[in-house]
Order: sequence, then structure tokens, then C-alpha cells
Amino acid sequence: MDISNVISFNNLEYIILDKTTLRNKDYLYCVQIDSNDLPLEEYKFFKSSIENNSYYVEEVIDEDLQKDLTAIFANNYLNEEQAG
Amino acid sequence: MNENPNQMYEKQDLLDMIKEAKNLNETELETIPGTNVKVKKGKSAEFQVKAANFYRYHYNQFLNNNIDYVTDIYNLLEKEMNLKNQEYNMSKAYDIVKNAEENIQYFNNLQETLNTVRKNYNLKSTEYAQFIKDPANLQNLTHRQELEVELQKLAENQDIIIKRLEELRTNLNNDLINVINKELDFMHNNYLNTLNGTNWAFGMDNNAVLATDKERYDNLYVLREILKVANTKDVNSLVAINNILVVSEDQKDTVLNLLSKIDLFKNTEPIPKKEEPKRNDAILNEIENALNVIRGKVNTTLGQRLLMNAIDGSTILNEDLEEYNNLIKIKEYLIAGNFKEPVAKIWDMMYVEGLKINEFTGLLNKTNFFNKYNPNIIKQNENTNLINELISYLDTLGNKVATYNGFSNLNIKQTNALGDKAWVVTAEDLDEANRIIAIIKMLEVPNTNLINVWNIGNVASNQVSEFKNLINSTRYFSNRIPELKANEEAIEQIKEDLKELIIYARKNNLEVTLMEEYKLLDEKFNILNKAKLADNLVPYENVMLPEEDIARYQEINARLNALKNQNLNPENNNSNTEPIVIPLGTPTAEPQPSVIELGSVTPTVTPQVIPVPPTVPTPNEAYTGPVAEGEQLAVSPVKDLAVPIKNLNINNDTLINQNLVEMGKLTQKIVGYDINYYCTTIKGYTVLLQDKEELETLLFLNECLENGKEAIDYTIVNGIKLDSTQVNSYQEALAKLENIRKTPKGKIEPVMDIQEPIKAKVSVRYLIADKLEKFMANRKNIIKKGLQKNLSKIINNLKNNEVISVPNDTELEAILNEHKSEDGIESENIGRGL
Repeated sequence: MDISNVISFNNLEYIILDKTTLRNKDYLYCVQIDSNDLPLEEYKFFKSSIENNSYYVEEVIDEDLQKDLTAIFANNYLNEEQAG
Repeated sequence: MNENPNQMYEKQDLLDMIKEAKNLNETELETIPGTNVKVKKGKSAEFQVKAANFYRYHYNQFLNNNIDYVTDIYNLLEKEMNLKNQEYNMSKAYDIVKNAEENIQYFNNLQETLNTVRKNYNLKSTEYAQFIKDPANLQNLTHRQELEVELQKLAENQDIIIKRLEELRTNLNNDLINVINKELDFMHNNYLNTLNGTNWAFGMDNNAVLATDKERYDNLYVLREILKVANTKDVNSLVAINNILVVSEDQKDTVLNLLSKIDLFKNTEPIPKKEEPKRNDAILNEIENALNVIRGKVNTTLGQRLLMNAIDGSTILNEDLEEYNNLIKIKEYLIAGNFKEPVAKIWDMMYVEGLKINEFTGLLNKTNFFNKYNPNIIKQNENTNLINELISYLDTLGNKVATYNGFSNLNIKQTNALGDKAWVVTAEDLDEANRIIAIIKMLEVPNTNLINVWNIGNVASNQVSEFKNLINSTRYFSNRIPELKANEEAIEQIKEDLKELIIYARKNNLEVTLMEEYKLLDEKFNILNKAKLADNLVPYENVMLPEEDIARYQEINARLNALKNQNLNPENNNSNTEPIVIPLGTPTAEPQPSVIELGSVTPTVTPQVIPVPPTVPTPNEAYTGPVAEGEQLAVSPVKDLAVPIKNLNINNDTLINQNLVEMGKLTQKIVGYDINYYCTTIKGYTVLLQDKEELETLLFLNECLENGKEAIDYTIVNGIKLDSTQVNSYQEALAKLENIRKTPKGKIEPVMDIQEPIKAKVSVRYLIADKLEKFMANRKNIIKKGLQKNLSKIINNLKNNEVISVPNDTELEAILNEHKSEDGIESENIGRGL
């Protein structure tokens, strides 16, 4: 799964905005999209994994982890901003 | 080499003597005559005898009169002792590094993040200072407020990161302090366990240790004290060392020096990571080889040829120009794809920037080199081969007519046409031949998006079902259709269930009551049968099902379970079925209290209700659990089930069955609950989360009972055969089970209160080119918006619930003093122990 890929979770579609690895686990930062692939206001962090050649995700609900991921993705964003 | 017990005892005695001698003063030692080996005074003869015995065991040969065997054995054992120490240190070092690995990585990431956030804070502060200085901006309050909010967010973000860094620092160092404390205790105990006359010294904390351990003891002690101080240092000055600990910059050199001296930490230095091959490297190498071949052709091709300059300046043959230039362009895309994000995966082997997919695949299709990787060309070639194979088969069918020549009344027919050709075949082969021709026609249709069916052939997506139907109905492919074994087994099971259900319903006049169950089983049967023709099978439980049928299949199973439960529950059961009453726990006619104590999982004597399953099992499946002598069995619709057992002997199998019944009861409790939220599955048993521990304990008890049956070293306890090593754990498990059952289980919480994250399989799709372009252009703005939302949420939570503070100087001093006093207590206690 890469940035710009669209995933379906709980019958809703999300587009991957960014991804990172934290403590050997992969995490995605996603925004929900509508039927025209346009972003909505709903943002989610997902933990992603591959099992038996299939992709699995689970929503990050732990608040501490959400804080850490916010900090990391904010850092990524600032780096990208600086790089232009 | 395997050592026999005698050899081991001799060896251990010798090792003890060597160790003992190493810690004694010179005055306490004597040299074994004719050698340089020193042992404690008075032990010379004993050492020689033991060494001689050990020599015989070890080398499997008798001694000659040469005294060298003493030195030989001494050196051998001393080497082994050192090796064991090294192994111990290596394994400890591995544990330490492994334990710290995740936190260190996390620590480093967060430090990097903190630096960036801090840099941005400083930039924003400067911008803010300049903004408010300029009198022209006095009226622009909106922008000023915006800047203030951004500054505040950055500051708060810094605080969050610092707090996490401090936590990580303390956790990492405390883990190591614990390891050091154990080592220090171990060394001190080594001294306490040694006899008088031992050479000893005071450690830095005034604890006595063996003289040989002193240096190690002091180094570890100093390191521990440094770590304690490091735990109070400001996070800005911290550095991670050797992937195991975190200290301040000013402590770094001292710590590195110490680590190099302590055997335990010598193997914790970070291993330089090998550079991982990039994702496109393999195919790039192949392209480079292909380019070399093309360039080489200039020198190897004979005769006059037109030479051209390629886009990279190389001189190549004119006929290779297009191929060469395409390869160069493809190479550039792939090199970029090695580094840039986001990327798309092409043909399951190459990674290219998402926005360049169309240009890239266009180039691939024009380049002959990639024909061998082009999935569509590969599939078309497979189809061509299959078509040839099938035409040969048609010829074979046609030849049968020739073989029958002479039979005047042979019924022969002409097949449908394939292009301008048709075959004459016997009437009985006509359908087969026409189906083969239809298959060939499907395979011949040119298409760019072919789908492979059962590794047989490739057809367009809208023809998959038709193709499968044809394949299924031909004799030719009968051995090549993959079997869905799991489904076949499930189908067989359903057939059995249906059969039993019908018999049971007729016998008890319950046709109407059981009609729903019958229909559900029938529907389940159809879904499984239909799966044979489906092309989108996914594994579900133990079978393969079409994706669109999974939800219904799940519903059917849930409903069947609910019905089963309803039929099992005497209160809900409208039939006259009575449950069989079987007492559990006090099974024997000649009661043996001790049997109950160990063997029975249910200590009470209250009769329990064993429900009768709605479908009729065969008599040999009947409950064979313990039944007290003379106990009345209630009237059952299934008389064969009730097998009273008299003079029962408790054995492992009886108890295993009894536990299985208990487990079955636990699994019944899940009916009506959403298994995603409320249940867990262990070794095939799905139970409510609150019953997890009980299930685990029952499983463990059965494991012990099973192990006991096969055990060589066993103990018979009250009639039950247990592996001798498991007697205690079995008894503990029984006690645990009793406790679990005594503890009342609360009502299950509603779904919303359970914060279990849902893990789901997801499908991935790509955005089409124009949408992808728009998304990439807006991506940063979307991220920014989301992060602002997240940060405001976090800040609000912090404002409501948490107080973030960095300790001031006075608080730091207090922490330091606290540590000092802790050390004082520790030293004092150890001193008393002496």
C-alpha cells in the first residue's frame, strides 16, 4: 500500500496520505473520500500489515499512539514543506 | 558429545576446584607435582584422581603413566569455563539489545522530530517578532492571532515530544539498571558462598566481592550511578549509546569507556546495517545487461551497418536504436521509482512514480525486451499453446472415426466449424468436441486484460464463468480442475447433517419445527457447491467461498448456532425432550475422595444438565462421562445416548471427555453475540472473552492428561496418570479453575464500551490518472488540514486532563536526593547481610 492508494475499510473508502514505521509496525495516515474520490473531513490513523499476501488494517484508537503518530506525520509534513 | 552422569559429576567437581583455586591466596594453594596446575592445599591428590577418571571418560582411553593428563584436563576445563562465560555474556548482551531495540529506535525518531519542531518554532518566533515590530501591521490582528496560535501549537507539540522522550529515557535506563543490580547481587553472593581463605576485596559501595570480580563489580557500579544521574538530565542533551542506554552528551565518553571494559556490554555495539537493495535494482541490472549486449553488437556484427547515436551518446546499430532508447528511458523511470514516492507497482515487479504509469507502460509495450515479462503476452502465449493442444485433441477424436472404419452403421457427426475447419467425430464425442471448439474460440479472442482460470487458460473477465462451465463439462479437463477439498469435506458434513436431521425430524414428528434448520443447511450446501464455479474465492473459516457469499454464509452459521442453542435449551424447547441429568464431579460407586480432588474439575456434587444435541449422534458418540451407580437417567428422545456406566474407573480419557463437554458448554454461550467484539478463538474454540481464562485452563488440563497417557516418566496420582513434571502445574490449574468458577462473571459490556480495534482485510485500488494528479497537487493541504484537526484535539485533551511540566531546578534536586537516599538504604541492607 502506498501513498495515493485507496483502501476500503468498514464499507468506507480512504486515501492514503502518508505512511510511517514506528516500533516495527507500519502506520497509515488516511482521509475518507466520497464516491467521486474527493476528501472528506474524516481523518484516520491505521495500523497496516500483510498476512497471507493480503493487506489488513486496523484503526489506531490508542490516544497516546495517536499523539505520537500526529507528531511524526507533522514532522514529515514540515520536511516536505521545506523541501518544496 | 553426550556426557554420562559419572563424567558430568567428575567434571563439575574439577570445575569447582579450578574456580576455588582462582579465588584463593597463594599461601592457600599447592602445585600438583610435575605440573603448573595449582589447587587448594590438600586437594592435589583428589584433583589427580578426578582428572584421571575424567580423562578416561572424555577420551575413551586409559592413561599412560604420563602426568601430562592433569595439565591437559586442566586446560580443557579452563577453556570450557571461559567459553561458558563468553556464551553467557553474549546471550545477556543479545537480550539487552533486543529489549531496548524498539525504544531506542523510537527515541531516535522522536529526537529528530523534536529538532524539526523546534526549528520551526524558532522560525515562527522570528516571523512573529518581526511582524509585531512593524507599525504597519498594528491593524492586522487576524494574522497576528494566526501566528500566535501556530506558535502555541508548536510549543505544545514540543512539550508532548519532550514528555515522551523523558519516559523512554527513564524506561531504557531503568531496564539496564535492573540488569546491573542483578549482576552486582550475583557477584556479591558469589563471595558469600565461598569458604574462608578466599581472596576478596571491597567493591566501591563497600560490599565484599571476590578479588577476581572487583574490577567488573566497580565498573558496573559506576555505570549504574551514571545512569541514575542521566535519568535526571535535560532531554536536549541526551544521546543514545550502543542501542541500549541513554545518557547526556557530557557522560558519553565515560560511558563508552566503561562499556568497552565490561564483558557484558562488549557485544552490544551497534552492528552497521548493510545497505538494502532498492526495489528496482534487480530489473535495473537486467536492463543494464541488455544494454551492454546491444552496445556490444556494434563490434561483433559483420558487414557494413548503419550506426546511430543513442540518447545517452552511445553508438549502436540503427536497427537497435528504438529498443535501446526505450530501455534507457525505462531505466530512468525505474531509477526515479527507487527513491520517489508515491509509487505504483507495474507487472508485480517494477515500481514507478504514480503519475508516470501511463507513459511507462506505453514504453514497456513498445520494448521487445519486456515481452518476456508482459503478463498479457505471457498469457496469450499460454493460450496459443493450449489451442494447439486442443486442436491435437480434436484430431484424436476425429481419428477414432478412422479407426472404426468398416462399421457401416457407425453414427458419425460433423462438429461446429472452427474457422474454415471442422471435424468428423463419433456421435458420442460430438458434444465434447463442440465444447472444445467453443473453448478454443474463447481463447482466440484478442484481449488486453486476460484473467487466468485455474492455471488452464486465460480469458476476458466477462467470460470467466462461461469458460469455467465449459471446462467443467469436458472430459479433457476433468483432471485439471482444482479440487476444493475443504469445501468437499464441508459439503459431505452438511449431507450427513441433513440426513440425520431428516431422520430425527421424522422420528419425533418435528418436521415443521426443524424446517428452518433444514433450509439453512440446504442454502449452505448450495453456496459451497456454487463456489466450484466462482472465480473470486477467498478463505473463510475452513472453506473457500465467493467473496459476495461470505456475509450470507456467516449469517447462516449464526442462525444455525442460534437454532441449535434454542433446541438445546430446555426452557425454549417446545418438544417433549427432556435433558439427560448426569452428575459431574462425584463419579464413582466407590468414592475415592482423592480422585475427586485431583481428577474432577467440578468439585460440587450438584447434578448438572448435559444438553442433548438436536441432531442424533450415533450410539458410539454417546456421552461416556462418569455416571454414579444407580443414578436415574431422565427420559431422552435418544435412548441410545444414555449409557449408564457402573463401577466406573476414572482415567485420563474420562476426564478429557468431561473437560471437552465443559468446553462445548462455553462455546455455546457465544450464541447471540457478535464474535468480532465479544469473543476470542483459541485452538478452534470460540468463547466469550470473559470465558477465555476458563477455556485456557481446560485446554491446559487436557494437555496434561494427554501428555500423561504417553509419558515415560509418570506419576499415578489418585488413578490419573500424569507426566511427573506436570503434577504440580496440573493441580495448580485445577485450583485456578475452581477459582475462576467461583468468581462471578459480570454482564457483558455493550459494544460501544469495548475499545477493541477491528482488524479488517482491505482491498487496494489506484486513482485514475487525472484524479491522481489532482490529489497529488492537493495532498499537502489535505495533510495540513488533518494535522491541525488532530493537534487541536490533542491540545484540548491536554488542557482538560493533563498538566505538562518540565521539572524545575528545585524539583530536580529533590529527585537527585531521592536517588541518593535509595542507594544508602540499599548499601546498608547488603552490609547487614554480610
